Amino acid sequence: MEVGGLGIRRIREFNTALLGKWCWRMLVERESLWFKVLSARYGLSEGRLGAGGCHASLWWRDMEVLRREEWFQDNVQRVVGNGENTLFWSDVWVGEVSFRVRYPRLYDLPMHKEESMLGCVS
Amino acid sequence: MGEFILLLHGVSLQVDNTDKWLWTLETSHVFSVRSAYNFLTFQPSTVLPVAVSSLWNKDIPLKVVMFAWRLFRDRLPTKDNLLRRGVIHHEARLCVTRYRFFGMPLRGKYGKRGITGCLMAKNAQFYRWLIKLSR
Repeated sequence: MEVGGLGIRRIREFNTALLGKWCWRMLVERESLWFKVLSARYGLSEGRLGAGGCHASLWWRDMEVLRREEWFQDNVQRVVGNGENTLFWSDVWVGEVSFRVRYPRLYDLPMHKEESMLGCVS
Repeated sequence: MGEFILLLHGVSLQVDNTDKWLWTLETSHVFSVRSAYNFLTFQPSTVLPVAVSSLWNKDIPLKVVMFAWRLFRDRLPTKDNLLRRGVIHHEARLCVTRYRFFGMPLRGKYGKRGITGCLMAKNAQFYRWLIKLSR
């Protein structure tokens, strides 16, 4: 990386970082109005906002790709407290992948697939 | 199955704490654009060095040169790129096999070893041309 210069940022990476802020807020501001608007628009399943397909806004299509990207996924970490807001099967709360991906045959068994940690463990 | 049970044995919920997300790049564990930007720009450059003069090398067929140019600039329709541009949908990524040859990502931690390793197995002459071009 160059030192000095005019302080002009690399525009692609900067844009990604700014969009990353939305991905982060999507995780932590789930009670906010904008999150509710998005979940009404794109649906919420297994704790995640829906993709929306080709009818989604351009911004949302960018977000949809971005939130799955490695640089983002690798740097967020779930810390389980009381387990109320963590989905037992779909969230990654131990190891690298969710239980749903890791144990697909076990995942087929429970009726209620969106059970929280609290419901499953206690 | 045993592993699954073992994992669950270690789990104890803390009633007083809520579930949290942590951003690992900041000591405050809260996302910041600065930390994300620094992380993204610190990644090694994804554009592989290619000697422009060697592109005019007459010993190498033009189609190979063109292919190499697109390869080094990461402009091939790899599955990775198609996903990023929204040509194929994330959910369909495992079903799309047309581009299986380029199924591995060019960018990021797999680097150039991934794709050139694959090419080497396919065609040694082709690989030699690519090496020549990448100098």
